[in-house]
Amino acid sequence: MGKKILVVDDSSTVRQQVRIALSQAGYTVVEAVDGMDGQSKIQANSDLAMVICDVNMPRMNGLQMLEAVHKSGSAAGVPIVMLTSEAQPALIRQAKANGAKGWIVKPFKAEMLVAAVKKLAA
Amino acid sequence: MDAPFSKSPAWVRISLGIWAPMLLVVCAFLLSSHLLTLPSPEVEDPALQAAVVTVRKQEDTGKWMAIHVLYADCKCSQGVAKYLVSSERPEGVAEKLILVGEDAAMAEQAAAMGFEVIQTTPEGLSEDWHMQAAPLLVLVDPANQLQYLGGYTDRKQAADIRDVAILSSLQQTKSVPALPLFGCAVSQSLQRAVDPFGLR
Amino acid sequence: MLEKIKSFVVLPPTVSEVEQKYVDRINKIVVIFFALHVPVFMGVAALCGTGVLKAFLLTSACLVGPVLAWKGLPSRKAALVNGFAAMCFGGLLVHFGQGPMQIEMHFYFFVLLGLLAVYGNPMVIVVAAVTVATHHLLIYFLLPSSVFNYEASIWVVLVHALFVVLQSPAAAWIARSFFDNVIGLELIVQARTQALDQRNEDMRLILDNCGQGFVTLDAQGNMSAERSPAVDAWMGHAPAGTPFSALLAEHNPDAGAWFELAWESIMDGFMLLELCISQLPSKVQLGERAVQITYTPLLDDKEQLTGMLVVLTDVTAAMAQAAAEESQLELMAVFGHLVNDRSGFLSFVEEADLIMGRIEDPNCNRVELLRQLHTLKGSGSLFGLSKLTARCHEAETQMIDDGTLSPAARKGIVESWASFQQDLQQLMAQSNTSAVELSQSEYSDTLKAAEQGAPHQELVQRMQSWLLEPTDRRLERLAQQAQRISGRLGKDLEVHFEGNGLRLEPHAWRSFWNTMVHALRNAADHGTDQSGVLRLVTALEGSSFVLSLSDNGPGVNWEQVRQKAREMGLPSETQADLQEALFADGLSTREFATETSGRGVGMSSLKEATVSLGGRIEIESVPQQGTTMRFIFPHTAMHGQGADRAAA
Repeated sequence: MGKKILVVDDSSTVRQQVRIALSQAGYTVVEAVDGMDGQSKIQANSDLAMVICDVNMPRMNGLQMLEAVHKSGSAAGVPIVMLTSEAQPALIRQAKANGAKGWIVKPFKAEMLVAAVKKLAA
Repeated sequence: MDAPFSKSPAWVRISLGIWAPMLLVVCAFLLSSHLLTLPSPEVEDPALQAAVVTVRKQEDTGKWMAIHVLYADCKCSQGVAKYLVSSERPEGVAEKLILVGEDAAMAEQAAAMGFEVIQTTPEGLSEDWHMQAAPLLVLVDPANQLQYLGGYTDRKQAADIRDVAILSSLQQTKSVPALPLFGCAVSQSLQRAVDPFGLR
Repeated sequence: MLEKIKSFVVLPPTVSEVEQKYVDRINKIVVIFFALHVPVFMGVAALCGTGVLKAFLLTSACLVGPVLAWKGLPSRKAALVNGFAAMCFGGLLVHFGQGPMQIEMHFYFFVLLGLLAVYGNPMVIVVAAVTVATHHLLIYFLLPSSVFNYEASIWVVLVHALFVVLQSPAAAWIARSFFDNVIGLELIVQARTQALDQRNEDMRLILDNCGQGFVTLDAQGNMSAERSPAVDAWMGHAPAGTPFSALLAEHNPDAGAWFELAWESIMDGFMLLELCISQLPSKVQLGERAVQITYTPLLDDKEQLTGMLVVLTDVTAAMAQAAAEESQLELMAVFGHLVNDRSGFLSFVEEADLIMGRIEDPNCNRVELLRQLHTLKGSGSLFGLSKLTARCHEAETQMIDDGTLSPAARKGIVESWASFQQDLQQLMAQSNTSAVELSQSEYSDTLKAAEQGAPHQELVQRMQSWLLEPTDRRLERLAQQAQRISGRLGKDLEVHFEGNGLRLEPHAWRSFWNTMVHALRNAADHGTDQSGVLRLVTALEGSSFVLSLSDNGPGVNWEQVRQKAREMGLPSETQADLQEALFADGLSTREFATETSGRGVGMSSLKEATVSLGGRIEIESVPQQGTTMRFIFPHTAMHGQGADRAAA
């Protein structure tokens, strides 16, 4: 079993893209559909190597989730990378302030995602 | 060698053009004083012969005679004089000091050491002895023959004054070549030639 | 040989700045050194009794030369004077040092000959040696040989000469080596620098004539001074050390902020360098100019980033070209539609224009905006407006991802529409816009009626109807669209239509026809199986005008609709509630939105258009047999007299 990566995104298309790319590279992918779900998945999976998280999601968005996770300390040491579209520098700043390690612009290339995950989840 | 900046002023170049040859000539004369020897009179000079005879006194009969010609104004002569009054003099030698010019102290000291001091002037020396330079050593055997006429040292102002050694060699009938004459011109004509600018 | 010696002794004529400074300094030191000779020589003279005053006068006279030369001659010439004077000082020292130490005083000459090598000029040594020789030779000219015995001194002169000959060439050689390797180093460096400058100039020439912008950034993202002129020309000059992000922000604040952020992520070092670089802004609008930016990282041996090569390429022309090609294709499609279905196409244009008004309206709420975008996208794709369709799709995706429509995306759609309209107007100018379409049979029927003396009123009505649009045409177009959609979905759809010779007022019905596309999509997408049959019929039923759309698919999954309706908090008790929910905003049973259907906004538009014409919708669905959707309107609506909307 490869390292466990959590992807939090309300778009099943995006989740699918991430899942396919990462599972081909030997990772185990856990999916969550929004921030709420993501938060509970983080608590349920203590062996996460990394979290990839969308910004705009219903119920609880990525930033809210990040903040909650950051405060609770439940994902301490687990690198969190935000998925974002190109028009939101301010959101990225906010995410970084809340402990996000980095950000990836959508749409992304699968091999780039895998390479980035390899570096961060190492 | 072109100058990278403006040409030097003319007066500087002219001044240096005068300065350099003058300095060369001055230095050449200074050099000559310790490179060239002064002329000494001929041994066969009858005037000299005659002068030697006149200085021998009655009590000097049968003795070797040493005549020291020193020039009061001459640095080298003063050196020799100092040496003479402070060194051990050989026995049985009649020693005369011909002092050119005035130096009462030198005359007194020499007389006290047993030298017969004969005072004269540059002109007198030139006329009576046909000598023009000092210091000069004259050694005469008991038969009034001039055995040595020359300098005291190998080189100018050398510390090794060799009068006693020369005398003893001659007394053992060894012939001694005359040492070069380093010192001062006494006669005015010689002074003019050697030191036209009065530098010494 | 002689040439060799000459070139060895004589220095090259050019005096470098370094040599100049160096020789000047040595000259100064030497003059001070010589000046100190005056008191020292006076002391020596006092000790040796050779005349203190004379020592003062002669030494000072000797000092005149070096002082004059120092003040008034070029450095190299002054050095020669010092070489000469040094030997004269030697002569004086030997003279004033008369006495037992006089011979030792001669050391002075040889020490000075050695010291003079610091000038790095063999000529100084030569001058000194010649000075010594001249002194010795002069004696023979100045003093008469009749009086002096030269022979006694000739050996002394020869010994002097031997020592000088031994020392001078050695000192000259040292001086020359010192010149070549230390003082002359400057010249060597200069020559190399010149060669480098030449190469730099060549490089600069290449950069100057290259249409691309090159600039390197340091590890902090600050610009270097070296850059090609295109950078300054396009972005304006910024001094070295300016952050590239700041310069970028001057032209394009978004790009500047984005660059800064992406550069920060590079500096953070958490993310993969390639990823970070790929997230640096790559296409930037600099005023009128569209510029593509590529980045090449500069790494050291340890793979650490030391800087970045930034290459800017003006792609304005290339992009304009691509856009022109796209427009051309679009225009051809538009032309095709104009020829085949002129009124249909024009009514789409009018409808789209209205939608555009809503999109531009900043007060338009999210749901409506989304619906309008969706409608525009759908009809745009049917008429081959690929650019507009692409903009709409992007905007839709953005709205769903981010919840809002960025001004840039909004602007993109509006501009795309404006350019399309411009093209269209050009096309239209070449054809008559006010033509009335009339089929051959209609024409002959009317003619016949007139010939047969048909009542005046009937003829008037007949001719009035010419301005109305035959439903056949619309149905045909919808049928074609349905087939296109099903073809795209990989289905083999059979579509029948029946107009029954009815005509409708084109302006009033435009919106309805355009939104009808959504119902067709639904039908083609999930209303039919792999090989389905679709029927489109317009008919008069009593005093009602009815358009029906039937398929032979699996029927509506009412249970699923009920579930979705509940999720959305809509009433779901009765069948009427469910029918209502089917047309509600945002209800979609689809998991993915595609370009075809699935965002749940299309049907609500259709319902709105129906209601505005005074109509209602009935749905009859039999599981495994099919669904029929009936759009029922009062008869008067056919002439554009709707319930709450007057005919345009």
